Amino acid sequence: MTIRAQDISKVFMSRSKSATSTPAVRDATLEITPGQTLGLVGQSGSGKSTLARIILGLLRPTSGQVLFNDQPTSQFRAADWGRFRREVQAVFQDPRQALNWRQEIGSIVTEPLRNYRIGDRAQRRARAAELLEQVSVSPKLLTRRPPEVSGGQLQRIAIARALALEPRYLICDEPLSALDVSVQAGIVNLLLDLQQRQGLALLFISHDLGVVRHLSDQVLVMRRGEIVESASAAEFYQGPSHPYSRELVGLAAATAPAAGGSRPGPTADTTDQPPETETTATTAT
Amino acid sequence: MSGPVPETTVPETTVPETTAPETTAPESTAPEAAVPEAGALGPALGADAAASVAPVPDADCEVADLTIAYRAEGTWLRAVRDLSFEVRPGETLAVVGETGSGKSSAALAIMRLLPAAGRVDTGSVRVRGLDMLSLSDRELRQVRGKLIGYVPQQPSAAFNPVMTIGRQVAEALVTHEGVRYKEALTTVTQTLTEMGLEDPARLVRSYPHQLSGGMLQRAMIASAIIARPRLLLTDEPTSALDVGIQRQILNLLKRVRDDHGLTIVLITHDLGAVSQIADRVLVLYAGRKVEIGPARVLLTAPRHPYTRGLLTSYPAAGLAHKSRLAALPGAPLGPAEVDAEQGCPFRTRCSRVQEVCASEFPAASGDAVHAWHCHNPEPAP
Amino acid sequence: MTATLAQPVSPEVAVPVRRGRVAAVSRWWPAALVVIWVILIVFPQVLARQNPYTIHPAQALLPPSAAHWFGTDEAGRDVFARCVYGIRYSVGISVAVVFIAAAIGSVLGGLAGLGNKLADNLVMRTTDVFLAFPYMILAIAIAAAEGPGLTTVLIALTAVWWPSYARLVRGQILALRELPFVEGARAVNTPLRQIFVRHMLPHLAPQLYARIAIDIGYAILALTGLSFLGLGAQPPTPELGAIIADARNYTLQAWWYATLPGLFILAAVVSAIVIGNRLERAAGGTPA
Repeated sequence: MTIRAQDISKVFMSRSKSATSTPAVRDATLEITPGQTLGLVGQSGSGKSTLARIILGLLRPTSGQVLFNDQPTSQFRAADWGRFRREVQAVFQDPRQALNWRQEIGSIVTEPLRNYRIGDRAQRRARAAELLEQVSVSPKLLTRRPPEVSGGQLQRIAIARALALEPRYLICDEPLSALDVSVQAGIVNLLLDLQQRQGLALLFISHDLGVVRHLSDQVLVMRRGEIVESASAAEFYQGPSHPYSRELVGLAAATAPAAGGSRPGPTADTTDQPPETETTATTAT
Repeated sequence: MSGPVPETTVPETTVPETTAPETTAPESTAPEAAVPEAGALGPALGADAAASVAPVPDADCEVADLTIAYRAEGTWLRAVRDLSFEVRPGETLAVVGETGSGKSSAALAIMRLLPAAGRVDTGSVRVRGLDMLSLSDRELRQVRGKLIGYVPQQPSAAFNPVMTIGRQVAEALVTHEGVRYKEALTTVTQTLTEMGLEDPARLVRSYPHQLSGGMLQRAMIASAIIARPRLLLTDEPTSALDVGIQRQILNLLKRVRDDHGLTIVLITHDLGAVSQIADRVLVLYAGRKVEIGPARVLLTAPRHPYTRGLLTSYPAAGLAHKSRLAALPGAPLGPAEVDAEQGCPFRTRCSRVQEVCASEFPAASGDAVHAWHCHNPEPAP
Repeated sequence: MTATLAQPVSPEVAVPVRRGRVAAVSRWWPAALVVIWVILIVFPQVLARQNPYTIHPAQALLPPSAAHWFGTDEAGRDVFARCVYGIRYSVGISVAVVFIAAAIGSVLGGLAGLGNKLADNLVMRTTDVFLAFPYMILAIAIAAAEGPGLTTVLIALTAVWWPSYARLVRGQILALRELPFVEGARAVNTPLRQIFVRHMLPHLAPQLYARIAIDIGYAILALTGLSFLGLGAQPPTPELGAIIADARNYTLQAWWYATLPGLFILAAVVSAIVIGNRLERAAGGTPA
């Protein structure tokens, strides 16, 4: 049982009459294998979030297809999506926006169960408490609402909701970016534990190469909509082949907290013009 | 018009000379020599203000026992408590903290930019000897931009969307030097070029939405330094940017610092940025100062458990693949807890906690170079 | 609700927002107003001691006094009592108009916002047609067809009022649709209908209530205007517009007859707006 994306491209139509709009995603191909973590790293505008949404069925690709157990999702009907979503769940970047702030936490976590008519009220409530425990959140929070809860706890609650249907795949789109540093590590550990305990397959998307490299078995590097490199974690530690990947590795080393002293020696970067030219327009992520 | 000749000696305690010219000339000399006359602000403030100025101390910014409170739900909650630190001339001090640490509040207080719902309860803030908290509005307006430059968070939100970049960058010049926009234009384009922006002539006519995040940040820095301030406060200058652009912006700040002899206070939560640019680091947690010292030391051998926790929260280079991180349990405190805490606010997450931590906030240990507030600090290396 | 202090607390929390003289009343005024009007409407006898229908020709056009707070009309009836009893019609019909309009508008606006382009266009062009009509013209047309009366004005006003609700709801839904938590709900396979009920309505409701309260005030005005023209209440129903229409003939002899009921209407409308403003503030503006 795998999820495969084949030659996915996505172009967002622009209203203006100008000739071409740059594709947000171009010919992306990847495969998520059970029990493994696939890391997808890229800067903003690289198209990684767009690709995630296409895989989840929240966006339709302009070309290419997503195969779930060798079945193209483009041919899915409601019932097929129902089966798909039981197996494939997602955690998004900012839990304060990804969760309805007027909804009770208990209701948030059991919503998937209600959608699939699993269990009765009492059973669902018990399951909600169970799920919160799985993510190390006190069941006392079941009656609270998102604004009353800290960012780290809220992201754990989002993860709990994603786990409600016992999926096999978890797509994490920048799950750490909206969190405090001291809280991020807890979420990383939680994801590692969940994978170990439940054999979850993870697609971990982030702009932070250090974390991606640490968590992933396989790393994909995305740039301007294209996947420029696909390598195992080991290869990444030794030294990736694509120049862009190497640039990212270099940046990660230079910007890591305990990297060189406070005033490192003169850098080669005297021109202030990056290899990536600064564009004025912003493309869809 | 040439400015004062940069002194090569440590600035002695001098009352701001009223004869000293207004700007510090950006002579490109070695960093340690670029210490301008203390009288940068003298004439701007007028005679009566000169009387309120104490002899200029050995620090560009001195914060003493600062307590800041915010109004929330009918009561005042302290967000910063008894904060004391100094910023030495020419150095780059990073103020590090997470949500609820009070770092942004402290920065805003230095500039007297606290919102209506915030107030300074106790303490003092001195910049170049000037008591910031007692300045009048008119004096404040003269100080901001001229003595202190400020780069706020999120340049995309800080720029006025209906004014051109040129006008906004020139604003400090127009206000302080009294020049007209047209005359300021040359300086503006020069500064924009200095920031590494191409085609400044077109940029000054552009609007903020036409620029990328990195470009906006450069423009924001330009607007902050254009009146040649002495002190530059930057609030999370890199958080909304990609890591490549972050590096460039930090390099830019370094270059500007070296060229103009700036003192920089960098507010950030990003230890990576700290490692690239900071000389000293001040770590705040829940409104309290927990550790201060040279960046090199704090990033490799901190004494406070929180600082150490921050470092281990990130997968370091040598860590085993897919191993658990040494994470800090729990989460940063909320405003009510910050205010109510009697002892050390970090104790709920600390692995080295002791009984005394609940009742008493630790006094400072260490020395003038490296100090920490902990009853049971990490062992010395 | 805990406020995070990562960014400065917004002044809304600390300092009460004052917006104009009408709304610059302290917090308990709107609640007091609601109580007063509810008493007036449900228990008119409490304040209006006289019978609004009894005719006393000998006591025609008396000025305001202790016995007759607003004086008497040309048939000797107590004007104040007529106002109080009359306002029940005004408020009753206005509330009915606004609620029905809101219901129709919400459903159609929801269809437009959530449905496909065709549904959207269909609904929006229909609202365009209705909004193009000045309501007076429409009301007169309907009255000509149905004959004057309170039901006529109810139909006319409802027909005129629903498009603005459709627009409001559609606009809100279009904005809500883009919010990340709607996407999150789709990711857990929540059906569209449930998304609307469970996720969108709670965000819409506060705004809607505020708008309804203010609109009741305006509906009272509109209804009074139509009755003034003779399209609405027919004698002897003591509807305020009709009262003022009658009073017009006696303005020189009995100024109080037209003026005081007018002020009464003003009080009702202003109350509705004050209450609505208060609800709007409680609703807190746009989502997120």
